[in-house]
Amino acid sequence: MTLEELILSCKKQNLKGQEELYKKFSSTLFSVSLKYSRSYHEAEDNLQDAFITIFKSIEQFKGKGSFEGWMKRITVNTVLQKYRKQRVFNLSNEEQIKEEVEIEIEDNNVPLDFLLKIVQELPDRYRLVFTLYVLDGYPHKEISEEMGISVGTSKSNLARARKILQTKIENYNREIESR
Amino acid sequence: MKEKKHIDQLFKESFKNFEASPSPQVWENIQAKLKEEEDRKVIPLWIKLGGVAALLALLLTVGNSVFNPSLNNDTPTITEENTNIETQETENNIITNGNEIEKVEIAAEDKIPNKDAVKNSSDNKIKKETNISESEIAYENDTKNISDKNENRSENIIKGSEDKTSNISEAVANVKTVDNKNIPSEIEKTDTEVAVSEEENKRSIYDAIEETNSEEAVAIVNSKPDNRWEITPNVGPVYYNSLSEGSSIDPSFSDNPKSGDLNITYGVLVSYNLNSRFSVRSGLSNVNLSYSTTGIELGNGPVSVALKSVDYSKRGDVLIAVDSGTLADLNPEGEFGNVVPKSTSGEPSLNQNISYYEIPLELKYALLNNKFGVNLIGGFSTLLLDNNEVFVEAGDFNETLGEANNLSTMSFTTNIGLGLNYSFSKKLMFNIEPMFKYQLNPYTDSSVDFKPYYIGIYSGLSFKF
Repeated sequence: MTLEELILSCKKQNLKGQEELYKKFSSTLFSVSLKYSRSYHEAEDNLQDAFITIFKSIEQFKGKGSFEGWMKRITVNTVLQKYRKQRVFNLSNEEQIKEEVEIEIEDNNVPLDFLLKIVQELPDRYRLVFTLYVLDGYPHKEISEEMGISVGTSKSNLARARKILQTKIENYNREIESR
Repeated sequence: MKEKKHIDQLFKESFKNFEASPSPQVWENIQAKLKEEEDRKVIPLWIKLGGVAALLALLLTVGNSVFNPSLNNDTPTITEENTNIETQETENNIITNGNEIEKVEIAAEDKIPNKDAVKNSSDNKIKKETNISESEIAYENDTKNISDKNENRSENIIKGSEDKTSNISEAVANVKTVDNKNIPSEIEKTDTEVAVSEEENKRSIYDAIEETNSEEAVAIVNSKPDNRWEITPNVGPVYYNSLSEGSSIDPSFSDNPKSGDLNITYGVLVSYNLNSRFSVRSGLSNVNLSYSTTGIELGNGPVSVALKSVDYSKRGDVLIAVDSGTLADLNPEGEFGNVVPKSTSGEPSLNQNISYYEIPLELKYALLNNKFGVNLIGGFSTLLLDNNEVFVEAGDFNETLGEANNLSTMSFTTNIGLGLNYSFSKKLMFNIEPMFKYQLNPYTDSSVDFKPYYIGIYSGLSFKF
């Protein structure tokens, strides 16, 4: 089955087609969900919600642009919607935090597992801004619109996230070295 | 040598080819949810309409048996039967014609090649052949599959009837030359008979078609939504009560137990359909409302200490109703004379009956307007006070005190309700309408903390014209 046929089958709400589509794209979309979610478990929940949305609104996909991109977008939006409601604590004066561009780090071949773990451990908004900006390449303007925050907040959230991640990686490197 | 790189770079590179598989449980959950949602699409409509359907199914059963006999006079089923009968008749005609035609045809056809023979011994031969064809027909009629065969044959005969008649006339011409006068006359006779009966058949079929057509036309004319007006006599129980604790008769009864009574309302509504969804209506009805207050004591005493909101119908000593335990407080001394407690057999209650003329002005919106209809109704009514009385009841004892003097002669209500209806025909409809009506200014004395409302279940028949 070609992708077009698969999409058509899903538009007819055919369960076989839906299963096929899931098999084909679940890994890709799960990796998206993992980067934005707090944990493996929540990532699975979010993936589930994202697929439900995809199946329900597949009618609206008119073949403009990449289908994979469209599904990724839905997955990101699903997670954003979920965490946007939950506020990050102690974010007063957050705009005053200066963005430090030059955060260099020693690359000790830090394993991906660890990197994912520390991203997931970030406070919700830091994580979302960091992943959107660094991992998925969204500009600050779009992030601010998507999250309902100002561009300044988005930038300072990113700086905060970087700082936290840097500290954690440094600690990790130190631990490895001391062994 | 350790390489230093920007943290963004580190993450970007690490996550470049990141892929992970979710557990199989995720698909199972998705599948379950998809199924659940599909089921949910079906259920709400049933829940919504189930109650309505059940009620109306009941009304339908009752209503059908009552209203059907008068309504089914000109239903199309009967005309269909008629046309069936007619066509059957025409079929029979055709069949007999067919037999006749064949009879002649066989005779004629056989004759053409045998011209010479006919010349020689025409009389006998024709007789013989007619006998043969007759016996053939008789034989065929005897066989069991008559109907099918006959139908087929009649079709063929109609198709080829023109040819055959020409054949016949040819034959006639031929036979004429034979100089036998019996045969041509016989053939001519059948010829004309065939023609006549054919014409008759054609006409009857056309008539039948025309009839059904005209009936259909009548039905179509009837279905045009010209019936904008609707008149609805209705009747129903009304329950009267108050949203607040107060008493309309006397503030001292505010905390007494009060209960609304069930009464009756009847009237007529006239509505005008603005379009298929909205209609506006008004009318006139009589509403009787009542409620009773208990926890009272009775006594006989002067009007001056009696209830202020009641215009007593008699002078001098009157029946006095007061809140339980306060009878003794009424000063029995001085110029007012004594208040004598009255003992009664049962628990005494103070009742008020009010009768209003109600003129509603309401807008009705059809949520559903098929055979079953569901409507939202909203509007207001003007209430004109007809009469009212305050009376005391205790066991067998019953005495009217007088009229309440604090009721507005004209007051208003806001109305909201739900209308359910079932159409028996284009002209006749059964309605049942639970309505909630809240009185806006029932009392001239604005200090009365009594907020009466009434709930009525109006049912009636609507006639459209």
